[in-house]
Amino acid sequence: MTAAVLAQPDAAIVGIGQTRFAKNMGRDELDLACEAVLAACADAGLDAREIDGVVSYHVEQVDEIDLGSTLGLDRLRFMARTPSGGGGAASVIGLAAAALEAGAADCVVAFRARNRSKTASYGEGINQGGRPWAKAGTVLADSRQWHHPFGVAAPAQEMALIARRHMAVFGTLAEHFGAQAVAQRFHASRNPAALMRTEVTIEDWAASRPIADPIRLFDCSLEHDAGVAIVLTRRDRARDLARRPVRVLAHGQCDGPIHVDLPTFFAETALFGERVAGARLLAPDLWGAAGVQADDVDVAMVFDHFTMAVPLSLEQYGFCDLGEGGPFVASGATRWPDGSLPVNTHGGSNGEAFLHGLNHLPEAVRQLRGESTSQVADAQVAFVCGSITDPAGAVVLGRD
Amino acid sequence: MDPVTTAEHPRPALTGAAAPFWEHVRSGVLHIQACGQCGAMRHPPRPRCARCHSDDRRWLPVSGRGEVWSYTVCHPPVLSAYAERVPYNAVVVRLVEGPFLVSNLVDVPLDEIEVGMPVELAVEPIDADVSLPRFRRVAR
Repeated sequence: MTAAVLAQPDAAIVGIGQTRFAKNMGRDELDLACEAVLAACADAGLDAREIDGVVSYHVEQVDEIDLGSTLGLDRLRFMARTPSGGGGAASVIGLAAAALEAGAADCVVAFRARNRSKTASYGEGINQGGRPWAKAGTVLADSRQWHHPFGVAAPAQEMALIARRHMAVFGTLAEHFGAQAVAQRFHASRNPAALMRTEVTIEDWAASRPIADPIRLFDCSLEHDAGVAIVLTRRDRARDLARRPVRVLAHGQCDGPIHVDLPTFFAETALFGERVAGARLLAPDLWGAAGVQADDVDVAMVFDHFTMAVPLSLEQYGFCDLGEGGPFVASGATRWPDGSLPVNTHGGSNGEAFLHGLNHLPEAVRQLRGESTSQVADAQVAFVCGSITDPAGAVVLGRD
Repeated sequence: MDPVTTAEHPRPALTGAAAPFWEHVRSGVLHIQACGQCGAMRHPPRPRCARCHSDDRRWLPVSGRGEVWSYTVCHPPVLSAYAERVPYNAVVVRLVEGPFLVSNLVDVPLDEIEVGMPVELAVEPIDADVSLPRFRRVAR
């Protein structure tokens, strides 16, 4: 079985924009999205009214129509969303690139805006303010009836069950996840935009409180307010704009059997070596389409709802062998500047900000422009992926 | 775990395709949905068989025996109904027949839980209408 992959589309990232990352900003998601989109357009040297395509995750709270009417985007002709929250962290770029390649749009913005501070509540929507799993109610007719009654509701608890299985099968240690947490907090300490500017040690990680064994507090993503946007257009147009374009070399998405949704995750699945995840199905074709291999990647951004996702994802995409992700991270391979594959050089979701991974894309762009605060020397190829769970998605980016 | 009777304990609605699962648990025998044509078992219940696509379905009694496939120990933040139980265990049990269930172990100290531990069904009522399929340790 092979996965269909978008190869060498006529698409380039031309602008990135973001709001400040902070708790309790007192601004709603639409407000944050507008600031991020306008910032991305300004970065590109484009008038926002040239945007004719909008892509986002299915968990996004900002309606395309509201965004369009607020910013006067009166010729939107391509609007699409990708499923599975952070699983789509790279796949919004795939949607945008596919639209550009097909001529369905000329200038596409991908965005994510969140108002998720614990005390924020701008709406009753399940993905809006506070903890979505705590708003599920107590009489459950949907898939949550298979785990909420047993006290399993929070993403940390779900991912802990995946992490523990990996530990049992391969001998991975909780400290391996801790090593990634420490590396990312180091990267964040160098990034003025990051929420967490204090470097931590592995001892600090071990002393941070347990959330869902083996996951500790310092493995977890942050909760706050933010908006991020990325603007893409076709390559010929990109060359005339303000910034060095970043080319989309390939994008792939695959819905294998390893779903984040616990009941379906375990319905047919025995993870890691026993069944094949979407990411692993996707990887050979992704590298083939991109014209580079995992060894050619200079820097990677891996969606890390919890740090365990980093070693597990690196295995699935072929950066190391199955079961070697933990030792790979613990060796320092993912830590800038000496690691062979620095990962989440902005600080990731436990250090910079948590937008279901969308803040990872601007960091990949900064690396390829030579503008990261933890810059990999002469970075030519960057890799960005969504979570370990399906549907998996990843994009390979390169200088244009 | 001790039965709880508080109204906020998360519970199945006992409606739709899932209702027979919960009715069978309350009667004390675990049943899993299976394809009426090819016999493939599936959990959670679905309107079609993923193997042969038949919509013919039935409920099969299963042994209630299995092993711990994975586990975690939950600390705050947790659902409010579980707040007074922290730290508590959560497990994925793989039944000997194949299907997986998210559940809890009863009467097993947290530091003795292991992947691969053999377990059997321990039905625990949470109120007059709903019982949960939890598991207890058995000898290897």
